[in-house]
Amino acid sequence: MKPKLKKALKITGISLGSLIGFVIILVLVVCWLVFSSSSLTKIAEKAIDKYSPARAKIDDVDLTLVGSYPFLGFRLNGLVVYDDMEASPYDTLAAIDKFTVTVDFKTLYQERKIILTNLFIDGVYANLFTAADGSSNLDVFGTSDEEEEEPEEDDGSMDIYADLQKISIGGINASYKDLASGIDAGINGLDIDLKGLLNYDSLDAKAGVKLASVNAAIRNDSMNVGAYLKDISLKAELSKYNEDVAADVTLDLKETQATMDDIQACLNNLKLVLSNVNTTMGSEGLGNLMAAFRITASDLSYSSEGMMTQTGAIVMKADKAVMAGDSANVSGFTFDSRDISLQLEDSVGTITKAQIAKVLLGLEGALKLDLSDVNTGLKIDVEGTTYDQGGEDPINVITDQLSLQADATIKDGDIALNTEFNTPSITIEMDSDLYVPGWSFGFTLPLETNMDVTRFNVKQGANVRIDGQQINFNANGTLGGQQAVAGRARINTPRDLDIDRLISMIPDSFKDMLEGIDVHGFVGLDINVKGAMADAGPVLDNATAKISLKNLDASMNDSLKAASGKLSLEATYPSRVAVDRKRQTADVAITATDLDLSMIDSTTINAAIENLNLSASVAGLDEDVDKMNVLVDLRAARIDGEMDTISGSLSNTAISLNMAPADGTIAMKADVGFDELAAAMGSALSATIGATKLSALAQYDSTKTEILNQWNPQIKMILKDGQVDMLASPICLKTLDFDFSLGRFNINDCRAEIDDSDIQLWGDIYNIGEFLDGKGLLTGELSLESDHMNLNRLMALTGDEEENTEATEQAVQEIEEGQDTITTGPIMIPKGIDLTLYTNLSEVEFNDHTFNNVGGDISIKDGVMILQELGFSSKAAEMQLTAIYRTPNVQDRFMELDFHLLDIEIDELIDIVPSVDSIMPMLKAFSGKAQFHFAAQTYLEPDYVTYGPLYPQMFTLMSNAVIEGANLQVLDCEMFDEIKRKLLMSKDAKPIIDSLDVEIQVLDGKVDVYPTRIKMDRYEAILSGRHNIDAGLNCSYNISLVKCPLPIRLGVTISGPLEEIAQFPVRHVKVGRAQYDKLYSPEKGKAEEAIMRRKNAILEAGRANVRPRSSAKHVKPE
Amino acid sequence: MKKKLTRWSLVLATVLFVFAGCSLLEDDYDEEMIVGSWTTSGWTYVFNEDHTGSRTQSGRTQNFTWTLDGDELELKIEGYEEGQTEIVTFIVYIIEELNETRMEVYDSADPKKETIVFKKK
Repeated sequence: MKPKLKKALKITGISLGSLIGFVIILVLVVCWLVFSSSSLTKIAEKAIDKYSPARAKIDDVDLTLVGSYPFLGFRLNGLVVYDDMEASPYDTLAAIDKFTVTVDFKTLYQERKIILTNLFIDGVYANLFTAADGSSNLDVFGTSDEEEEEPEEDDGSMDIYADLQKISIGGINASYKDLASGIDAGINGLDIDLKGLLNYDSLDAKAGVKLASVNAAIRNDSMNVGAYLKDISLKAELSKYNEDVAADVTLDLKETQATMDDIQACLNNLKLVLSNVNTTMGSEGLGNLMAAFRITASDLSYSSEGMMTQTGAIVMKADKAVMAGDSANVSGFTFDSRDISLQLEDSVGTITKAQIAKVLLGLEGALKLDLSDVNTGLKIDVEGTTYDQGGEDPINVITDQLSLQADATIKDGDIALNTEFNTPSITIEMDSDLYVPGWSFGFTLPLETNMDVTRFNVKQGANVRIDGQQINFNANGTLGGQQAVAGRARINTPRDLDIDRLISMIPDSFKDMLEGIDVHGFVGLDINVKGAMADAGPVLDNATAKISLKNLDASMNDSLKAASGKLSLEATYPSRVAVDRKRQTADVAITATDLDLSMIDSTTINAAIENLNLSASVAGLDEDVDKMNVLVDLRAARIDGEMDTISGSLSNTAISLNMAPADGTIAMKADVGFDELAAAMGSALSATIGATKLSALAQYDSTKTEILNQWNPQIKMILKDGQVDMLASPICLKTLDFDFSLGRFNINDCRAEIDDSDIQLWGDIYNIGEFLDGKGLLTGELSLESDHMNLNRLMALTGDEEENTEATEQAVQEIEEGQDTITTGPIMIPKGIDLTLYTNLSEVEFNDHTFNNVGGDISIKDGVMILQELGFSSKAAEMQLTAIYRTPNVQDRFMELDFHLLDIEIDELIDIVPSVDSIMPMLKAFSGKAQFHFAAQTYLEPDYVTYGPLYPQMFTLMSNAVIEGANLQVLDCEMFDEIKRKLLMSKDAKPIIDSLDVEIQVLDGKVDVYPTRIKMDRYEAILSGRHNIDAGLNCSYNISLVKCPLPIRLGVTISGPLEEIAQFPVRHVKVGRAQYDKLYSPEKGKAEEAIMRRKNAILEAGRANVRPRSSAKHVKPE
Repeated sequence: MKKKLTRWSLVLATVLFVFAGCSLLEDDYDEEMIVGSWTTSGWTYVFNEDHTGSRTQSGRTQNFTWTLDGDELELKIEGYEEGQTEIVTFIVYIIEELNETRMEVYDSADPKKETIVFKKK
């Protein structure tokens, strides 16, 4: 550039600069003149005087750059509004140390807009007071009762806007006292910093608030509340564009206290952070709100009368919380609190304490504010919980950890809640008794209901878990209405419960209830119930219950025991079998693979059952027993029973029982079947029965007294292959087939075998019921047949003779010693009975004899037993026996025998009937064929203890005996030889008696042999005599020779005891005159005629008693 | 002749008496003296006018029919009513003394002929 130009420019610049400088100085001078402090102060004072209703002053107003740089600010210093209210304790109503505002002069100059750019206030004081009469020091500014001035119309003056770079208000102290209401409040050290653009429709600001302390209290007759906050700090960033509002807020509160009467609450070190706050604010008000927040506090305490609680650190946050219209949404919400303690004290001084070391709560969800739509998930974890309740019944609960998870949804009026609670260990102690010793506990509850809770559904999956034991349950139904609760429920165990563990769960104080009861095993449950709870009580629609037991081992008082490997019990209501809609019905079923039962007392009873299946159906549960219908079906593969030495077992048993009311009584039908029954009584008796079927009907009649009549049983039984072992040989019951009823007992067929003997029995017995009632005669006809009967073996089976004799002798000895050991009395024939047994034994062995066609009728009629025409035939004879045995009472027992042996050998007679020898010992001297008639009647000795049950009462014994014989040979014996020599018979004379008829009578204990003629060879003798039936058998017999070749009529008398006669015959022999020599001669006299008459009467009586054998045969079953 | 006839008649009568056991020497007793009740040896006898009777001991009763032929009192005792079999037994007493209160007899079948005393009730 050329130097001239430079110089020109230099001169121009200096001139221009000087001019500008002059202008600026001029402006400044003008401004100073206009805006000087005194000027401004005067303006402000005038304005205050004009517009302020209260007395006020101001120190000065000036322009400043201090604190407002780079903006020029108007600063008002020392504004004081005086409190002229007399009642007010304050002199100053309000005061501001410094009030500074900056203005954008450019906009003001160009656009005529007043834009405030900064506002600084320092040192604000306000003292508000309301007197007891309600007057306030603010009344000077006008009350709300005064009409509000109408806003001035816009007169076109300049608008005031704010483009606040900074608003700073510091040192605000305000107090408010209201004597009328007792309010005393104040704030100290409030500092507010704001920065941003504030307009009608836009805001972009940062705010910071600090408050040293706030206190407020209301204390009057009805209220005593107070609050105190210390060290409050609030930072916020707010923005609003159109309707969109965003903010971030942080609030710190060091100390907060609140009191109300005796309630005191404290919250320390509270920090609230609201971040990402978004909402809208328009003409319709606040719109959707979204924010994240975090609240922390160091501790919280609360106390009131009888209650005190405090916590440690608290943290509550939410990642996102949205309030949109009528719905709210929260995610990532957690609440964390530590060291929570609670203490309660009641009016009597009982202290309850609770402590929680840590609580963590998490919440996710969304809901509508009217709760019409809710979807939330809640999780709570609690650690270190203790609960102590003092008092007379202290309670102590300890748990290390609790967790609760709950998910809830509400939609379309339906509520769904899934809750799960768990604690690995919980200990509960009550009254020094340990109720829960550290068990794990938990429950799962999926629940559905509706808003008004009129229906509910506990869904599948609900369960309770205690110490490893789990019970599932579910239910659904309705609540309210006519029935408080109605619906169905199920309880079941997914895994069997350990009974030992269940029992261990029973508190010690309740274990007394189980005293004596000892149970082990595992139990499973499955119970379904449908019903309702009405006002009148529970109503059960239907129910099923299944209880299964495994490895059961139970005992009660060591006297009742039960054990089973697997046992299940099922009950169903109502019954599916006994269907009856008008009655209460139920089914019960019991199955067991094995079941052992024992009852231990003075006698031990054991029972063992294999494969038990029992089912029962009952109709009429709530009715009397006699009105119930009962169906029972029992099946068992094996049943074993044992009692002392008695034992029994059943194989493949099937029992069905049907019980029903009939004509006002109970009727029963039973069917019993088994494959085999085995029973034993020690080693003495055992029995087995093969396949058996039994059907029975019974009808109970309570008007009857005897049990058979009460039940009126009708039984049909078929039994095969039974065997009883109690004798040396078993008694085999081949068949037993009978039909029994009280009207008729029909033995269709009964066949038995004992050793080589067989028996078949059949027939009918009638009127058993009437007989038992004492109103009728028991009648009947039975037939007994046998193909072969061995009496020797049968009698031997009951014990040998020597043993029987020893037993009898021992019994007699004991009787003589005064010991009453007789256990068997005389057989008494019952009255009211008319029974006949037809017997037909084809072949009977007795001693060495065989008897054929042994048969006869045995009847029992009204206390009398009659053996009618019992006969037999053998090679030795034909026999006929009729016997009567009457028992009107023990003292007057009567017996009669009518015995005939036709065409019998005499020696075989004695062999068959040994007692004949004791009555007629002389018969031993004879042999050959004869007819024998014997009839006897006697009363039996009442003193059966001494004499035996069948001993004759001797003075009542009367008897006839007749022997008719021909060609009888006299036995060669020493006595006959002596007689023969005495009578000088030839040596070779044959001892053949051409004919013989003996008439004998027994009366008054004496046996009288009527004079009997014996013709032998050329000799004819008369035998007569008497002997006494006593121990010595004293006798006196006479043999008179009435015919012989020599004219000698001599008689030989033998007298004395028989034994002595046998030993010393000569001493007892006397020779004398022949007796009865004319007995058989035509010259017989009156005496002989009388004797013959008597003999003939006895003979005729004997012959007349012979009856023809009945040829009637009774058809036996095939 | 007459004296001889008388002598032989006496001899004959004596012989007949000895060997025939003539009842001329037997005592004849009045049946009416027997009728009534008697006791002996535990029995109580009742003799009825119609020649029926009974004897009872310890409640046991036996019925009989009785005849008196001279000094021979025969009792025909038949079976008890409770029985149905025909039984016939006899007791033959020989009366030795009979008065209104006492009767002495012996059993004809008793070789010792022991006296049995009946006392009138």
